Amino acid sequence: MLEIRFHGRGGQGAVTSAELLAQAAIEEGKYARAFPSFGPERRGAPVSAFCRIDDKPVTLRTSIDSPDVVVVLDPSLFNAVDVTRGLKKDGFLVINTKKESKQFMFEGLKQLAAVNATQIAQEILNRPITNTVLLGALIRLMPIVKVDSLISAVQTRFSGKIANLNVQALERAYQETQVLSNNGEQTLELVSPKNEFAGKEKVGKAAKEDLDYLWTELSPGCVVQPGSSRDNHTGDWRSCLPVIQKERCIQCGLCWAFCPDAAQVQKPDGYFSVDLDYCKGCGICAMECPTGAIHMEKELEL
Amino acid sequence: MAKRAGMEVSIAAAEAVKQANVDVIAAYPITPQTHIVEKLSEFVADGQLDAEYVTVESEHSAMSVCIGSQASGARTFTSTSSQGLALMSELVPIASALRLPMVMLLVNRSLSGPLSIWNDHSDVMSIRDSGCIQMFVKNGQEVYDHVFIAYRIAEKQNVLLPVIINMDGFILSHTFEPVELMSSDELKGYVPPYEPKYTLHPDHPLTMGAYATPALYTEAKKAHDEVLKASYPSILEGWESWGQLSGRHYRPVEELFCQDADTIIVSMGSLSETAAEAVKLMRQQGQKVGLLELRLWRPFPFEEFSRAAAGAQRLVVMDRAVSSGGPGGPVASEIRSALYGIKNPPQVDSYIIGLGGRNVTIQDYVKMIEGEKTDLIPEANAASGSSYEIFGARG
Ligand code: SF4
Ligand code: SF4
Repeated sequence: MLEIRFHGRGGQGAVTSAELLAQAAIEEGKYARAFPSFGPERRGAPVSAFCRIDDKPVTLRTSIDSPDVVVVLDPSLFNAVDVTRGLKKDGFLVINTKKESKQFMFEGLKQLAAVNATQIAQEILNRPITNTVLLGALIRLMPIVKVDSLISAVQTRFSGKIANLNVQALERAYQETQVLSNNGEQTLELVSPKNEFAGKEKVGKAAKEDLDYLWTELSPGCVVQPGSSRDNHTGDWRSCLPVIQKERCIQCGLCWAFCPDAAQVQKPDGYFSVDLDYCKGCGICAMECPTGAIHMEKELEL
Repeated sequence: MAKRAGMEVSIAAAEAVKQANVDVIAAYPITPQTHIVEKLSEFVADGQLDAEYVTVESEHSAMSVCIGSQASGARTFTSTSSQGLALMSELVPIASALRLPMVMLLVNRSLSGPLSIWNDHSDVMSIRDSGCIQMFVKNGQEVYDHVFIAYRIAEKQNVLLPVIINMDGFILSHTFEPVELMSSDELKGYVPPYEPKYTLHPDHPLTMGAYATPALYTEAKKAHDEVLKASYPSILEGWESWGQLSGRHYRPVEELFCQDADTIIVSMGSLSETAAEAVKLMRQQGQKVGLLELRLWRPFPFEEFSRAAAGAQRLVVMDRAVSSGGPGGPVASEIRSALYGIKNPPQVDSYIIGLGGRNVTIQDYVKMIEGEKTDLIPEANAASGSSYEIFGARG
């Protein structure tokens, strides 16, 4: 059985990726199951999806904690989520990056497939929806299903022009994907803040995937003391970020007043800057700024 | 000095709530709870009780107000019945999960339908698993006493759980009988000032009622379950110190002639007094029967119960609610579980009686003890322990 975990942001189509792959496998007469991580969905928030493929019926319904393959749809996720958590030794990683792919290799990884999926998606689909692009990269890395089956799955799911464009995106990704194999050369660590903690006992009680309190540690009524957002950086939902042009700013403070997350902070010189630990990228400040000093930029690799 | 007076039990209940010095009352009137909350609103309006009486538009709002006021540190009281509880029931497990030690007088009334305003226990059974401390009382004196006892237990730092006192609608609430009212001097100190663990206050922000992902929900439930079970000694302490104060002693399980009894009848709430008369009558006739009255419903007093019941050959369990298509009345099936695994357990006969206000007479108890079948439905599978009888249903 092959277990694949997809990481994306709400709206990028991680769930669709998993389902398309399963669909292609089922069409080929294999057995497959695809499902999302269940929970509240927010556009832009980190989400994951799972796909299991086998020659025998797939019976498991549990989330995939030690995948054979991890597919990362959004480059900014490396800073927000421990995407390679539990990845099997000699596992595979498929990423969307415009950077030099070599720096994403790490020890224990067998092969890495890298593609500038955001660029391909923007150019062909005119939107940064990278799911079909990454599927092209995935089957370039390992022929889990035939390209034709995947194309047929895409055509079943989408219709008309959208289907054609997605097929184009998939085929182009298949061509442009770079595959690196671990040949024992010196490799760099995966750029992920979580990796700093790899091997350490705990990442901090409130880190989102580490809510490992014992029942005896819970306060009566599960009361949460103030200040929990100090540990819980909610800015990882963001898919866009505000950029302030100082020259245009008149220091009126409207961005500060309107920001629903108190993420605009006034500096001693009177200008405002954005606290990226908490900014959700909602764009309200850009909307409210009377001089147009703020514009929103796509969050890619920081 | 305690003062003995004749009064309607609902009025005695309201007197107790007044004397317990509550800060907030939020309730919506519903038969047969009405007299309690009417009297309380009078006390507040007349300045006899310095509390906020919040008139709400529904029981859902009543419980919401109670949660908010208790969370802000106010001693809170509510009361409801039947459909009112059903409307409230979305919030009851939240009150207990937030560890808010409010007290509720649940004036038991059957759930519709058919529409019925009369008494049985179908309402309380619907919130059996809400994580609150739940007890039954059988007369006006016990209602009065248990308001104080409930606050003392609920507000203990190691408890902090809502307490629900079940009193039968009409049979108790609308009966005029003697009750001994305590003077405020006598009560002094029995319910110490409420010291909340956490309060909602603008100057000291904190979060109550945050959501729990799958990573935390199980631990939260485990913690709640453990604190409810661990409240048992505190409940005993509440009764013991009340006994010292008033001379009236209460136990999780009350026994009458159980020690040498072959057959024990098990009851809850107001049935117990009439049942006691039936047992005394049969004793006079030389039959070895006893009565076991279940006062504490949650946490269930497993140990005390099986100790008291172990010697009998047969238990006749009276339920006032139907678990339709299930293993028997809710109390009987619980008792079958409580006895499972003990050596030579008594046979448990499940009788469902007194539904929707149906009168239960001394003769009825005698018939049940004698094992009379009335509903003409052949015993489906007696050996499986899943049989029960809806006693007195004409057919
Ligand atoms: S984008 Fe939204 S959250 Fe971020 S600083 Fe602007 S208003 Fe605040
Ligand atoms: S709203 Fe615009 S002009 Fe006003 S302080 Fe913010 S950035 Fe400057």
